[in-house]
Amino acid sequence: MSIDTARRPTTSSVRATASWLLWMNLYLAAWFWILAIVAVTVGLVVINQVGEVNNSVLAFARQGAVWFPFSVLIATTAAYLPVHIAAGLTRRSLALGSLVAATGTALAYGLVFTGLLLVERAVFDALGWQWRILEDLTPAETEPLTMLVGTTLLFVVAYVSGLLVGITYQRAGGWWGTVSLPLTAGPILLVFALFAQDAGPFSTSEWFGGDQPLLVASFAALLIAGAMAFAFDRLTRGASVPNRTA
Amino acid sequence: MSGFGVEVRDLTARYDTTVALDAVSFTIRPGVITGLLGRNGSGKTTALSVLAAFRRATSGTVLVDGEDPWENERVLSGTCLVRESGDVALDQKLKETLDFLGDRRPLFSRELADTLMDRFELDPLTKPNKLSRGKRSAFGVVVGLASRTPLTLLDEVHLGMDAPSRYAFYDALLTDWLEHPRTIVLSSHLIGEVERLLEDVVVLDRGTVLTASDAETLRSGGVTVTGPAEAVEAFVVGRQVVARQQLGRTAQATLVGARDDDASRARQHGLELGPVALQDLFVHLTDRPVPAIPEESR
Repeated sequence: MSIDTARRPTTSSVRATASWLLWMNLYLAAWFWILAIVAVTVGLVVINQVGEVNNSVLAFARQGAVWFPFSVLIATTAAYLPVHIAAGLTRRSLALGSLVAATGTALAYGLVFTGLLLVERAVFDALGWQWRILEDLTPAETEPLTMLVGTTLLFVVAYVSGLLVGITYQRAGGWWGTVSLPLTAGPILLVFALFAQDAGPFSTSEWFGGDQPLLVASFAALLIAGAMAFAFDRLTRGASVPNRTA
Repeated sequence: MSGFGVEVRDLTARYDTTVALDAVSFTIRPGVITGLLGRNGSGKTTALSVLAAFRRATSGTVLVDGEDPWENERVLSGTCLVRESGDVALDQKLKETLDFLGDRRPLFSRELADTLMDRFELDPLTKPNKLSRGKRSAFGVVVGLASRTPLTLLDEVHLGMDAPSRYAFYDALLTDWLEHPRTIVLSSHLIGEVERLLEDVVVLDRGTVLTASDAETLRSGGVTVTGPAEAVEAFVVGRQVVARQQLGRTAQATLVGARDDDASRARQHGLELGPVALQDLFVHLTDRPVPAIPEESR
């Protein structure tokens, strides 16, 4: 029996890559949110015992939900590249699959975060506590749709940034990877500001007459995410597989 | 013919200022087991990395099955490079890695993988970062053979494996290759062990090709002479001897450069002629003068 030299992978390598990376991130997301719920519950109980509950505690988890998957994606980008290429797959499928997985992960985190905020608000209302978000750089509106769109787009930018930081370190090394952080990770802070009500000239609440701040901020965030995704794709397609010592 | 053939023309690869490969050219025939031999730093791993599109060439042409392998979905799916430490997810169980490859490699044989896992006594529930170096190498062998790719590149995959495991690897490689012929390139320092597997040989040295031919032609460039020590010494006078062995009054010398009258002269002296070991030829071809140690530093 001879080898059939013309056979190609039976399933789409982009889909296979995206689903594999997405499931890995969703597994970590499940742990993140379980721990967040436990921490928020304990926090509320303690605050209620020693003082008055009048702020959302869960809202602070937004920072964790930005930076934890961001860090995971940096590590994943470095560790997964050799595994992917060694499995006979293209860099193109790695780039596209990673971007799809990052976007899917952002959507999952955004949905869970917004859903848990609604649950928390319902609990506060039931217990007669005042619910408000006391965090800098939060959107002016705390309506569910605004929170969902603003937070999800922030997560998309953060997670694509994680991919970009990872591949930049991989391609350019430690020195240039660090020097370029304002370009590769800086956009996260910019998008925080775009959706915030009080972030000076970066806040879109005053742009174009301030009529549609969510729409303007969303459009700007999508442009930023698109530019970062393009840079990630270009860098990934030229990446060499580093030597790994035993 | 089965398997991918490889054409390398004027391939140069640099790491910053270091030239790993300097305009090398060679051909790998499809369906043949080829040995890629060379000393440390000769450019073997770089050459294999370019063939598998792990890295780009600085200049030159590489054609795998007639096409540039870089970002070539068909060629990449049919090419498998296993490097000495393996390129698998270190925090995943071996079983999960086999599942992962089974979904991505079109010709992956789970049956063969499971058989080899048993043969090398690998626990499917262990993770690679918990394995000894030898066991990790054995898992690389499992991945490389079970992928059954038309071009399989095995780069020093035997490192750390004990002798029984290495011989089990050689047997498994040969058996599966006979059942599923494909192109296999085997890079190894243990030339004496693998030479029986090799049909073709490419020898690299300091980024250049020293020789590339079929193993028989290479072996015929030399001869071993065995017999009484005095007769052997008389036979080799004026000849280039690359290795000598002596046991009691019997000696064996390995000569480079066979002559037409060797057979008759050997009969005349009561000597036996035999094939030369690739290992001896390799040492001879890649031998470099050792710089003398200055007297004051001894």
